[in-house]
Amino acid sequence: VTDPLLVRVLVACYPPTWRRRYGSEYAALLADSLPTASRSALVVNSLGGALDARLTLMGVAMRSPLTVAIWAAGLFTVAGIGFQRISEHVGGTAVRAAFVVLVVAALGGLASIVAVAVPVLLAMLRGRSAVAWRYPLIAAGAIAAWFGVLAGAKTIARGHSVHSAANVGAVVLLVVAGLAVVATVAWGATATLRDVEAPAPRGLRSTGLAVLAGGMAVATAANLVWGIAALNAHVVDQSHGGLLDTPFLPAWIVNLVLMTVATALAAGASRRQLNAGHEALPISR
Amino acid sequence: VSDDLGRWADPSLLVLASLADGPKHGYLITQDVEASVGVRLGPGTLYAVVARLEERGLIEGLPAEGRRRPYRITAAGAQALAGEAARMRDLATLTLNRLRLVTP
Repeated sequence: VTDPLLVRVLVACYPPTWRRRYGSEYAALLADSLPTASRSALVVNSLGGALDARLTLMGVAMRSPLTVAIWAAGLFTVAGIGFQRISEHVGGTAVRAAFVVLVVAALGGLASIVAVAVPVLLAMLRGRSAVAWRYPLIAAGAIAAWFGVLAGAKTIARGHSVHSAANVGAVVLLVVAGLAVVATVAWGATATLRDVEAPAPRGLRSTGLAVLAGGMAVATAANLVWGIAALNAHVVDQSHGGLLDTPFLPAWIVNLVLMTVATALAAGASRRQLNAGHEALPISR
Repeated sequence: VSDDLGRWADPSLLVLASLADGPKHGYLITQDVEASVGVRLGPGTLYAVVARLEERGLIEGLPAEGRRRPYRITAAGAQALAGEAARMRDLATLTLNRLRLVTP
């Protein structure tokens, strides 16, 4: 007995790019198989196939230089937010130049990856892939939700001392939610670039990734100089007041390591993109 | 084929063997495999294999007939299948000869 609704649901479990290639013929196979096959076994087998297709596609995407660069930019953003927190309590003129260089380089690098995505954005605005709008909407929803978590964390921590369980719990909640938001945004960007077929102009992708890696490298070096200058000048405020206060040295070292790892990932992605001969291939290939 | 496709190697060989005597679409492949060797390939398994074999150039899709698309084995697919068959034949020969030595 053929069940059109079940067939549609099972086909819908596969990723869009797979459905574009095999969806129609797979639906025909399901319709042919349903009258003679065990319904539950067929459903389980089809769901397993859909999971395999999604994992395979994810594996292909994670080998794409642009995907790696996007996730590296996400990690760098996490480090950047952490740097903003630890730099709040650092004063003095000696560290100001390094601070400015870090911020400018980071913004320049992150702007370059936005530039790489411009052709995709234009294609979406022209209505070439209406379905892909769901990814930026999900990312925007995740960011909005984080501000809700922030309000909740402030409520939890209000009136409690810095090292109280309530305060630490609120910080952990904020950090975990923040990481989830960054991951959601990076996933949304990757999925959008994968599903919207809008090849970047020749060289834009290579140049964008090179600028991203360069900006991140300069910012990471500036972070190193900034931290050393701050320690040498004894301008670090060691007070423990505030929701997210942490001791300066460990926080700075962790921050520096995160930036270094993100920069290394972006540099590797940029090198692979350059080696690919400035190809402007869709992300899913 | 075995080294490259991991856990999909066995169903891949079944699909290649099914296509060795002519093009077939998905449902005919499952019917043929079940009738020939008694293995029922689920639709999810079949298309996981079809996508891999097509990506590696071992099979190719023909123009669709309605909603059904037949596939045929390529020259590279036939070569890979012949290599696997020869390897299995050698293993079977070796195994049977050695079992004969220990079987009373």
